[in-house]
Amino acid sequence: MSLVQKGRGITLVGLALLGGVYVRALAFTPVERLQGPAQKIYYLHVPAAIWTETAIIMVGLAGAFYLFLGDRRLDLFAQASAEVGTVFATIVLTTGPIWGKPIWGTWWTWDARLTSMLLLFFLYLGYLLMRGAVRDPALAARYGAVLGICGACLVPFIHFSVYFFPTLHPQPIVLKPSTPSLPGSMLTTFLSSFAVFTLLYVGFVTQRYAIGREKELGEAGSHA
Amino acid sequence: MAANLVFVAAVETIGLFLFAVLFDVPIWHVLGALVGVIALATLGFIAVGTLFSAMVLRTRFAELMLPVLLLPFLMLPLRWAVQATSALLAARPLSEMMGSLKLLAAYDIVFVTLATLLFPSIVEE
Repeated sequence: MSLVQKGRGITLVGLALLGGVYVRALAFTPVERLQGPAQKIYYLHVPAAIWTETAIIMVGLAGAFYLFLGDRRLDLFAQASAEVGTVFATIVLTTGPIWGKPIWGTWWTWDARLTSMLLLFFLYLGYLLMRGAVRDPALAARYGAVLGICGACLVPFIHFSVYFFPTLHPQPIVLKPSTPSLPGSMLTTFLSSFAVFTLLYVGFVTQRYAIGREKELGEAGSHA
Repeated sequence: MAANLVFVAAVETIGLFLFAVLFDVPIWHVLGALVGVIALATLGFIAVGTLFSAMVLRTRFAELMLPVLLLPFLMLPLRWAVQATSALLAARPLSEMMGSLKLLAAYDIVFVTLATLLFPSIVEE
């Protein structure tokens, strides 16, 4: 079985499990008292947000190792992670307003958390645009590594700056220094969803990496 | 980076003077602290800006690429600087601007270090 097929298999399993998670979220997880059914979007929004931030950290780590080792596979991984991160950021920026409209009464507000997530999305777009704007693949990899490292170092500022300023956005109820304040059944649904998103990240990145690798090997073969 | 810093500092000096005169804002009693906040905010984004401008020189659409890359890195220090400056001009206590000042200082340390370490990777052939 090729790497592309393995990645596709993992993605399909992840998508099927995501369906399962939503059956559990809608039918077997209690409705939140204040927010009502709108809270169900939490199980999609938060895991996607965590993986949006994690994906750019992966891009930065792969970039740092690439600058030291010069291994093309690290650059391919960074590129794949950035593309998947862009998709997850799009999910976050789409599901957030869908939740915000019934709860806040507005699709969007220039709140610290919302704006910083938009900046992260722009960071991903900048990374992808920059990769496309450099003709020499070795140079693009080096520039991508530098931008990835800077982006990864920006994530803690984006994540923690909201603790310093007043924000409309709910404060973290799972990823915080004290124990999670989510009730048991909701926490189980959330953790299942997070595991599924991890699987989706692995599946998407594996596929994208394998496609990039095959393309590179094909190009190398045609030049030989 | 030093040349960019001098250039931006010159523009900021003119801007600050015009802002004080045209908007009739009394800045002289907090001038030292104001210059400190502006310097903190400028240093970090100059470091990233210099790094990225060296990078975009060899890309297509270089003029377009620089603002696209710089925007996410520029907005955070700008926001913190605006918050610290507003508190300063409104004569609020120092504790109200400490959050912004700490973030600006941390941002400067991280990105000046990164720019210094990563610059050779950008310019090497």
